[in-house]
Amino acid sequence: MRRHDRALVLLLFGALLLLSTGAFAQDPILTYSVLPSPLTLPAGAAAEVQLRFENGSVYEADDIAASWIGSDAFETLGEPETIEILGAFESATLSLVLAASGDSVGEHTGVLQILYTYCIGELCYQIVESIEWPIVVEAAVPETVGDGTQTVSVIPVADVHEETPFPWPWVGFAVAIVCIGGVLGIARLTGRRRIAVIGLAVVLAGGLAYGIASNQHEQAQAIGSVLCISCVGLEEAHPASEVSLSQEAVAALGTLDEDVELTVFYAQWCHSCPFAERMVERMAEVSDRISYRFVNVDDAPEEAAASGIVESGRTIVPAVVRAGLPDVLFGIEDLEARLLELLGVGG
Amino acid sequence: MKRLTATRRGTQALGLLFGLFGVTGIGITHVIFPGLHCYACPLAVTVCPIGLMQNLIVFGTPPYFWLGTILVYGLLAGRGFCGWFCPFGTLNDLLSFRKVRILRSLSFGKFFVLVGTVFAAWYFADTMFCKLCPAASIEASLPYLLLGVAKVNRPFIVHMATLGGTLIGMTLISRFWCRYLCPMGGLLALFNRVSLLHLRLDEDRCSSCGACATQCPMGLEPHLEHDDHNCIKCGACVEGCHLDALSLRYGLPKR
Repeated sequence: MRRHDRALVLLLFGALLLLSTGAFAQDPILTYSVLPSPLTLPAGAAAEVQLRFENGSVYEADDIAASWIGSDAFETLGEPETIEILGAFESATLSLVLAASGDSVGEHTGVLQILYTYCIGELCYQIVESIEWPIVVEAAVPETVGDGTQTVSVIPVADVHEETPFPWPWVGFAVAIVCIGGVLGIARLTGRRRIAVIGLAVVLAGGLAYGIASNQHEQAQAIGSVLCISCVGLEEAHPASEVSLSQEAVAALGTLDEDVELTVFYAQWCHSCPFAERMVERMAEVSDRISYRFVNVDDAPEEAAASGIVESGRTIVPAVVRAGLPDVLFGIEDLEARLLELLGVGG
Repeated sequence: MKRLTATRRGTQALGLLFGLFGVTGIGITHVIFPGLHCYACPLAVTVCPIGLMQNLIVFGTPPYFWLGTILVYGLLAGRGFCGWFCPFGTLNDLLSFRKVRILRSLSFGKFFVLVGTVFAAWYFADTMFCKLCPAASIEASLPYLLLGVAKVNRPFIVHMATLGGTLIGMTLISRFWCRYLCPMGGLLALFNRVSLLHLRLDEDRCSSCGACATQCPMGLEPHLEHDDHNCIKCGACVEGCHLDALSLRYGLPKR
């Protein structure tokens, strides 16, 4: 093998090594936008602002809160909202009411501080970031009532059509596919394979770099380490809308005479998990002795392991466990009968 | 056993170790396995390229990381991974009793399976191929039945049916799955001509005796089609050639 051949081989093996390293940096995992932008409101009035969060990672973001840290001419009204949990690849909106003081006419820069946490296994990070966007306060005669205090009527967010961002990543992906096809085609037609190898190596490097930068290797790991029973065809998936309790089940639940806590373990992409969640919800609606909670296995791997839903290092969902009992119900097949048995009221 | 075959059995054992027996422990599943290998397998530590591809399509993620990894594998060895590493390929190998000629038109079937897998994942928003995959039958359905997680139900019977069909095919036609149906083989086949591992024919030495063709598990005629997309670069023909006209080489193509 010539020397530059060896260099290329080394490069490829280097890329392989890169695959097996995780990125554990403390990076923000949320992206956000503010609506409306710019925010226009009369002096002395208040308007609703919506903050949209998108989670582009495989981790859950917790306790997302926003607070005003801009000039004193503005203040937020009411109790600040928080988003308790924002799951992997999900998005959510948080609204807050911003009031402008009477003498604040002009153009301002709104500044909101965003605070949230997320955990990778045992390591938890708190992220503090700020977001700026333009605010225009127009001159207005505020309405006054008898005692002279201003009334604050909140201007709701206008019906803003949320622009779906142009799918640049998909365009890039399509370009990459066309490049690969072109290079392979040229190699086939002209027999010039060396240039094809170099062309493919360039696409390869770009693809890997972008993929790792956007955390796709973590996504691959998340997909690989959690097994959703219906996904590989160990049982059939059913939507949550198909959940209905039989007469016998309702009667049996009525005989439940002790307090029971059920935990449903789920994953974001699991097709049959909503069915298991809905079934437990329905049972809890029938019997007030049942309390329940849903646990995302990506968020609580230790709890999942402690609850016995991990078989040979692989977390299996959906799984239902009853507090205090070692039994685990995997999957959704005959779930009603198996749940009744777990509750001790089965026939 | 000849030297190439002995080496190949070694790398195939490595494939089994890395793929099925979790030698590296859980935690590197962001490595995509270079072969058809169910990530649902209780001891799997890497993720199946075809399974991941379907999941990414379901999520709507443009699969850059996946594409980059497939290109790495394609350039490193192309379908060499089928012959030297893939656990399901190894099973095909062990059942290779009848090395019959390949049906060229049917060998494009794997590309149809690949395109069908992509389309079905998008259309049904589910991993449809996995529900039929014979590798999943062996590596997921059966182990989980023994572990008590899965039960004998309709999906299980479907899995056993595809596995049974594939096993019969493999026994009657060597590397039946690799020849005609494997979507991963289809993916790697795209890069077979440009991969660093390649089969070379020294035409001056070749007497066109066809001894290599009797050895090829893929049913090719290596002296006529040494860079075919069906070639898994296993080296059976190299060993079968009495004139040393064929050789496996590693490095950049000549031009």
